[in-house]
Amino acid sequence: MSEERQWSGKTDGTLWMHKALITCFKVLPMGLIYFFMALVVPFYMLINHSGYLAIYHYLRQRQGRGPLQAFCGCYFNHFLFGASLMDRFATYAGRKFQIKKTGMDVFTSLAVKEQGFIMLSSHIGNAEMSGYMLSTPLKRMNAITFPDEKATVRSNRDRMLEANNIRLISADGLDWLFTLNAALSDGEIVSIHADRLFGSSKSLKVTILGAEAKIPVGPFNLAASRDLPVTASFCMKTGFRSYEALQYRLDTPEMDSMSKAEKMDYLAARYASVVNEVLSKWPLQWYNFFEFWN
Amino acid sequence: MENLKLELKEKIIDALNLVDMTPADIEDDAPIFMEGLGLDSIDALELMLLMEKNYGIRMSNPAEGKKVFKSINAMAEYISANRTK
Repeated sequence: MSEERQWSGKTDGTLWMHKALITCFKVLPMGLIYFFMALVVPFYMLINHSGYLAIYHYLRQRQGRGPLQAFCGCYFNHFLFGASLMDRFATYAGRKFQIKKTGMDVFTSLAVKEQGFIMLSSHIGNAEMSGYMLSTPLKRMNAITFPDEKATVRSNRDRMLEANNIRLISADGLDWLFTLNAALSDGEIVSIHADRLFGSSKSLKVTILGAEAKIPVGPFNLAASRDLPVTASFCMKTGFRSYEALQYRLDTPEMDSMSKAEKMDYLAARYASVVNEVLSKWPLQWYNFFEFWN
Repeated sequence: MENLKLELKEKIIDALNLVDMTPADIEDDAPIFMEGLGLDSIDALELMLLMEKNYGIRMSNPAEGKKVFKSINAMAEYISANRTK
């Protein structure tokens, strides 16, 4: 696997920057913060040139936009990504957002059952925001996170998510696999990214936006081996202070007669189909800043 | 114990879909991960499931798990001492 294809697993920013941001959000109006961010975005696009190019190629080749449209789309994509990050810090600072819930019965009906389930997340929209509104009193949710996230981000997420019975598990070394295994044996929920190869180079091929892409085997293997229900979760920014959280059920009764390999392929294809649907509605909220289709 | 080791190797080959391997290719004392069979995190979860489904052993302690998954010998010894199935 090439270095470019693999996500480094790091969250940008230093510890003091994250602390200062949270303090700012307690006192500054959101409109002012967004305004400053709008000014900074072009510089970030210049500095993070490979990320800019990846989004430009995505808009040109996968969304069929012209050069100027794609360039402007890159700006708005970066702006929306920044706004999503700002909203996250605003939440840490105690601010509230309106969240419209779509398909939440999928989540609630599975959350009351004895068996656990897999919830697939993606780098599309602001998945973390949905974590702040998904309350699971009967069933703990375990969210797998990339290692090397900054301590402030982790401690704030821990604090915010713990109240909703959500535990963060850092995918570092091998220890987390035992925690994950115990969680699934105990009938808990596991939330895991399904759009980035990390920790294993094994992949499944799917078609997303008309081109072949590789997604990690891990989440689909977990579900197929254990015959667990699978959902895909998204939280899309729909306005200045509003989001729409969406849940899709991916497994179907048809899978009962399938082999493990067939189940994995079926789930991966269903996931790709849902990603297509979400990206057709919110094309600018695609936040995989690397050449995803290479 | 030898029968258990053979059974374990067959189950590992089946669970991890190691189609080019036979039990004879897996040494009893060779490391299972990395330089041994070259297994990764996905395979580790499959081995944990194999232990639970076939031998009724739930793997949840990382320190213990690392010792158990050290080699086929270590796995077989642990299974014979702790199996409930």
